[in-house]
Formats: sequence, C-alpha cells, structure tokens
Amino acid sequence: MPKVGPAQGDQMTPNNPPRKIESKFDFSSRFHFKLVELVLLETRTHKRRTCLFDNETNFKALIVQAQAGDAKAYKELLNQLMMFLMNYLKRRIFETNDIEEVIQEILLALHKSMHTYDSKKSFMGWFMSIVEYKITDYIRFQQKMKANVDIEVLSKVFDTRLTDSDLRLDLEKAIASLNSKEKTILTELKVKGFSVSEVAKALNLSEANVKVIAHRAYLNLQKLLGAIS
Amino acid sequence: MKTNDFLNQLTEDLKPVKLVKFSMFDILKVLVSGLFCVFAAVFILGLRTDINQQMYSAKFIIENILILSLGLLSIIAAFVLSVPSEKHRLTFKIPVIVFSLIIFSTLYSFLSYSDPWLYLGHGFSCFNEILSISILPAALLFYFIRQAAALRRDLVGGFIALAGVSFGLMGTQLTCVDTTPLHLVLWHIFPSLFVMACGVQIAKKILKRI
Repeated sequence: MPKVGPAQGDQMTPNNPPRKIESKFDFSSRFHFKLVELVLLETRTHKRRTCLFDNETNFKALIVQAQAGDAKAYKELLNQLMMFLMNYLKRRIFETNDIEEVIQEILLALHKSMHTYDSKKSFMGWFMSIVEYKITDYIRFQQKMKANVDIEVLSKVFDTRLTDSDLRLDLEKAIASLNSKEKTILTELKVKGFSVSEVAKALNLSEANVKVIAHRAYLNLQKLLGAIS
Repeated sequence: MKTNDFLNQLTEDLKPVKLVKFSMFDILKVLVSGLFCVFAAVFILGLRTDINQQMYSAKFIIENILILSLGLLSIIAAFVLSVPSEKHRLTFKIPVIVFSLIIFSTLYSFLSYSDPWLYLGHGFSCFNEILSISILPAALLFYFIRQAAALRRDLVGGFIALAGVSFGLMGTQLTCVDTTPLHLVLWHIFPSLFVMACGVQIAKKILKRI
C-alpha cells in the first residue's frame, strides 16, 4: 500500500518532513497505465453488475407475474430486458444492424423457456445463460457465413458471367428446386415482403419454425447458386 | 420486424405457463426403469457363468460401481442441462471423466491380457443387449426433458444416451462372459459410442429448439 504523509506517531517538524508518496506503480509507464485502465473498467463493470443485481428482485417479481399470465408485467419485463440487452449487446456485437435481430432471438427464447424458470433461483443466472447461448449461436452463424463467402470466387463470378437477366434466371431456377414449404416462405418473406409473424400466422406455423425454414431455404439457395455458377 | 412490434406480439401470445421442475423423484424413476431393464436382460439371458468368481474380483466390482455412478451422473447432467441456468461445469464434466475411466480400464486390459488380439468373440448379442436395455431409460429421459427447454440439445442428447448406455453396459457386465479386450472394445465400447451418437442426432430432432 502506498504511504502518504508521516507514519503513525511521527511528528511533522522541519527536521522530519512529510514522507513522499511511495507508490509501487510508476504511472508514467504504459503498462501501469493499462493496469489502471483495467482496474477502472473492472470497477465500472462491477457497478453495472451491481446495478443488474439491484434489478434482480424486480425482474423476479415481474417474471413470476408473467408466468401466471399477467400481460402488463410481462410487457414491462420485456421492455426492461430490451433496454438492458441494447447496452449489453453493443459491447458484444459489432454489427449494429444485427443487434435488434439478436435481441428478438433472445426474447423469443425467453418466451419459449419461461416455464423452466424457478423463482427460487437467480433470474439473471437463468436469463444470462440464454443470452450467452444466443450470442454464441449468432457468432457461430456469422463465422459459418464468412467461411462460405469466398471473395475471389465472387468477384470472378460477377466479372465474367452474370448480367441481371442471367442472375434472375439462375435465381428462378434455384428457387424452383426448393421444396414447396421453403419456396412459399421465401417468396412470402423476400418477394412479397411480409413479416415473419404474418407468414407464421398465414401458414399456421410458429415464428421460430418460419425462421428455421427460411434459414434452411437460404442455405439451400446458396448451395444451388454455387452449383449453378 | 421492429422490436417494439415484436414485444407486443410476444405479450399477446402470453398464456399462463405450467412450470417444469425436475425433482429427485424423476431421477429415481429413470434409475429404476434402467435397473428394471438390466434385471429383465439378466432374467432373459441368464447370469454369466463365472459370476461367483467375478463377485470377488475388485476390477469387476469397481467397474460396476463406475458404471452405476455413470448412469446416475448422466441422468443428473441431462436434467440439469435441460433448463437454462447457471451451470456448474462439474455437473457435466464428471460423467465424461467417469466414462473415460471405463474406456481407459478396458484399454488397459490390452496391456494386462496375454493374447488380447487372439479372440474376437461373437459380440452381436452384446450390441443388441446394450441397445435394447438403453432404449427404455433413454426414452423416459427424452419424455421428461422434452417438456423443458434445453439450450444445448446435442449435449443433452449425449447425456441421455450415456445414461441409457450405462445401464446397457451394466447388463453386459452381468451377462457377457467374454472378457477379451478386443471383444470389450468392439462389442461394448464401440456400440456405446454409437448409441451416444444416435442420442445426439435424436435429440436434435426431438427436443424443441429455443
């Protein structure tokens, strides 16, 4: 610990001047500056965590009411969680356009797994496990997509072959070879511009199911278009 | 879709939920069903002929204790993983360690056996036994866990199958007289791994994705 001023029992006299600050850390060095920065960051994170745990009882009360079917409490819970997620995901996901999508995924997962929450246990522990899982899922998906896109191949394809009409023909051919469910959902979502929920209602499927089928359709399209090119 | 609209829709969809809580009683149910299958197999196939000698063998007793604890730990791990929560890593590391120990003890017998490669044995019945014993406890576990919301469906499927497999292995311990290492690896360990792989695939199909 750094010592400031005279030690206990010392008297301040001209012969016994106050001791200089004896710090083990040399703040001028880059390393120690980093260290201080880290400590400050940790303190801030701790404050944030403490703030979260302050909300814990509030969240718990809201989800217990929501489990009983209280729509108002549920809306309140979702709103508060959305605000929390907005801040939380900004530090985890750098594609700002994707944040909203990930938030929706997380809240949908919460909606589906609400019946597994035990009010005797920590809400944040339960919720954060869903959040972490969904973030990992998102990152895995991103990496998969990145791995699939070969920029050199893409540029070659665009340079040499495709005019708009070619592209359209290829797309139509690829879409035609999808199965009927995938074709319908893809057309409804991307050509007619309906939302996932509207398509889900129209086809009597769950939203998650529609998303999964659409995702499968995109992957199949990707494969088919790759094969055509 | 905008997040606010999405929230409205989720709120509209809200219904009172029936809480899913797993208790010791559920674990006991699966354990009893597994042991019942083991006893049924022993009843049908008969105890191994050298059971009296084996009862005094430390290796046999330790292996059986390990297998029984593997079953119990896998059931617990499957239940714990089936709901989102703060997981203690040990919950699912311990069954894996126990299973590794069982595999290791089988592989170790290659060193201690004089002619490990000589006799392959007729092992298809062991494969059948493992498969048939593991079906009931695994199906029961799938039934319970389907009501929950597993995040890692593959991991849960693996543990469900491992729980089933452990009862299968216990059955073969009591009925199969063949202790040649190659037989144990080919007809006890490989089928167990095969059943586990099937469990992972089935879980991906059966369990709800959240």
